[in-house]
Amino acid sequence: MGMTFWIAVLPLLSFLIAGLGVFFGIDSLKRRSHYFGLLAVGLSLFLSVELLFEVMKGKVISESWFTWLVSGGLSASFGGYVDSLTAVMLVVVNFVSFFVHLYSVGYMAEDPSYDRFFAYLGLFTFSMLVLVLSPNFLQLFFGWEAVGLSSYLLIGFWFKRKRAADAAIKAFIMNRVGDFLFILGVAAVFWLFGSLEFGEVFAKASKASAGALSLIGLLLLGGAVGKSAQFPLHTWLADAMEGPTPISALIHAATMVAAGVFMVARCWPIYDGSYILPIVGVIGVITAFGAATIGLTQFDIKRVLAYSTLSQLGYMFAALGAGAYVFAMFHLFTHAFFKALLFLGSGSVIHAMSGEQDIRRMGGLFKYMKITGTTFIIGTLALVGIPPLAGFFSKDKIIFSTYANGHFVWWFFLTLGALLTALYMGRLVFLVFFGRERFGERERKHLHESPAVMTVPLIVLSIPSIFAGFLEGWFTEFLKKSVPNHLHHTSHSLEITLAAVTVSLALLGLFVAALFYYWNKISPEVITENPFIRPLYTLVYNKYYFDELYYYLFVRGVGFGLGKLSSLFDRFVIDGIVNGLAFITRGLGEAVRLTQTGVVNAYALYFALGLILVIAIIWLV
Amino acid sequence: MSITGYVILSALLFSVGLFGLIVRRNVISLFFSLELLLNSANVLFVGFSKLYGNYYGELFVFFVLAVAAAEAAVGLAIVVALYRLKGSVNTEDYSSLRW
Repeated sequence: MGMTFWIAVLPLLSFLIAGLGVFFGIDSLKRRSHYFGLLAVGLSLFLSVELLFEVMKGKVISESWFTWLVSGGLSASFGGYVDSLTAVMLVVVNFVSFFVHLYSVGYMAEDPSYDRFFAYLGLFTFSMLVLVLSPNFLQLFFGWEAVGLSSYLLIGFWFKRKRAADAAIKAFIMNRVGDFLFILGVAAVFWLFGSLEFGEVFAKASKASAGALSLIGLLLLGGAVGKSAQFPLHTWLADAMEGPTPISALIHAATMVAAGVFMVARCWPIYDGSYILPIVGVIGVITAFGAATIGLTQFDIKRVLAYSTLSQLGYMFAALGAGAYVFAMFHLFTHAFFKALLFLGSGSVIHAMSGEQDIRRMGGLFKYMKITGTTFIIGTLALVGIPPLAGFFSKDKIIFSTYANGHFVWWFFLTLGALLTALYMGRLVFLVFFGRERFGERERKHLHESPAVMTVPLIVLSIPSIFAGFLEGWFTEFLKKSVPNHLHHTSHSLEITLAAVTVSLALLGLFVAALFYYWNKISPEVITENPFIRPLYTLVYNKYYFDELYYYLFVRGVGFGLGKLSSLFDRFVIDGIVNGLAFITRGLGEAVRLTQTGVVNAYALYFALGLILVIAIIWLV
Repeated sequence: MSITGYVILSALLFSVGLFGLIVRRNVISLFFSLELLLNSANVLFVGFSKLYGNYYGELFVFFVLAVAAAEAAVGLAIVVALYRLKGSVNTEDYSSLRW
């Protein structure tokens, strides 16, 4: 029960205390529920940082908490395994979670379920920490499922709204598809290696056949695709916007969606030995590019950010696919800060606009909310990849690694994706913070900068959003202790050229966005109403009809088909048995009742026949 | 001595009684047939009593006769009641328990 135990369990305690308050309806706990959350996650953050320094000295900490189950050759224990990969994740998760807690004190202040919210936050943080700390596949799976459960609870936090409840169910079911593959993968690991401990499995992985590793890798990837919302299981993440905004920040930045990337990086010996890294990369590139195009067309401030997260996760998967595990983790690391910042900023905007989320009804907000506006723009520049902000370093490294490792098609689409990122983020910023004020009098009266408890997290998060990029050298060296970084050697000038291309495209994207939405030189309708582009626009605006496709394929198709099938089965087989029995009984009765003539002589005859029968039997036997 | 004659006589009496019971439709005739069945048993009792040289069988015949008398008394009373109800002694008219 060392430090790692307390790192994971402290948020659980916060969940339990706040949860007790909810369960028994203790009012005195209700208004104070954030104390436990802040204290627990703060302590956990402190311990994580301490652990990070321990690990930086070159230690690898491995602790066993307790044995969970022993069954035959299978034994699984709960424990904490902290190498440089885990240490970084712990700090990121706790850091973001802490500021999300702090921010929620302001954001959720008027919510009647204030304490329930903090309870769930504690559970969510605990789940992610358990996942990150896991020394074996079973604990990883436990954390995996716990994250899924708590995200379900939080997305459906306002469960009285049908859309929120639907989104929660959708997220849960989409994740279930991935988790099913994931548990199959875990079973395959046990079947092949006879153990679930990371150390043993990875030691044996180098000797296993590439085919077997590919199978395991594919199954585990299924889980990662579900959890990290990659194509084709990406549709839940945008709907997850129905949850409270701090939750979106937590899901998108540090917990949940990071789990897939983390898992692939953690299982690198399996992926390195298999054939499927290209699949990982292609999924990433499809998601990165496809989601960026969708982001261009959406009007909900949170949805634009959600598609941007999808897109950035696609970048991370592309880096994983290229074999640059460290760069994927580095982008995860920087992305956590600026995406949390952007979401919390969007929450601040929504808060100020009394719940309005449509960017067509915003505009000119910058002069009303200086702090939110400034930090949001910092987050945007970081995401777009303008040097020297954090996103530039990490995204550029990913794009560079795909080129260096010979995936030119990926490189092309990722670079184009960078342009699209700049376009949609520029569009978002110009529509929200600049230009004409398009909101009504009611919103204007309410319009205000958010309280300090909400702006302080924004300011704090904007600091790593600006400076985290400079940690690149340290981060790469540090993570290389636990995760390799395959990168073909290339000339330095090539790297600079590629970076220059990316940055100039990003700047071009911002410029074009400004042409459209700031200077209003061109109306966006000119493009969307163009008869040639119109069908394409409709396609993208409707998110490539994936929701509809899944609806008709699975909800209507499989669901309806299965329903029809079971209805037929019920009608013909089940009813057939019941009705058949009745029919046979009735028929027999019809036949046998003819013997009941009512005439006493007939009964005497039966009696005589019976007698003869008995005699015959006795005589014969 | 031989018992064969008694058994054959008893079997014949029993068969006649059973035949009458199945074929006849008059309730009074059914009674006659029943008496024949009882008496076929009596013949056997008497025969075996003679064979073994004791009186147990003949003693039992008196029991049978007493039961038969009681049965005839009850049975005829039922017939009278049935006749009053249906106005007939034909069994085919007593078919209320038919399907």
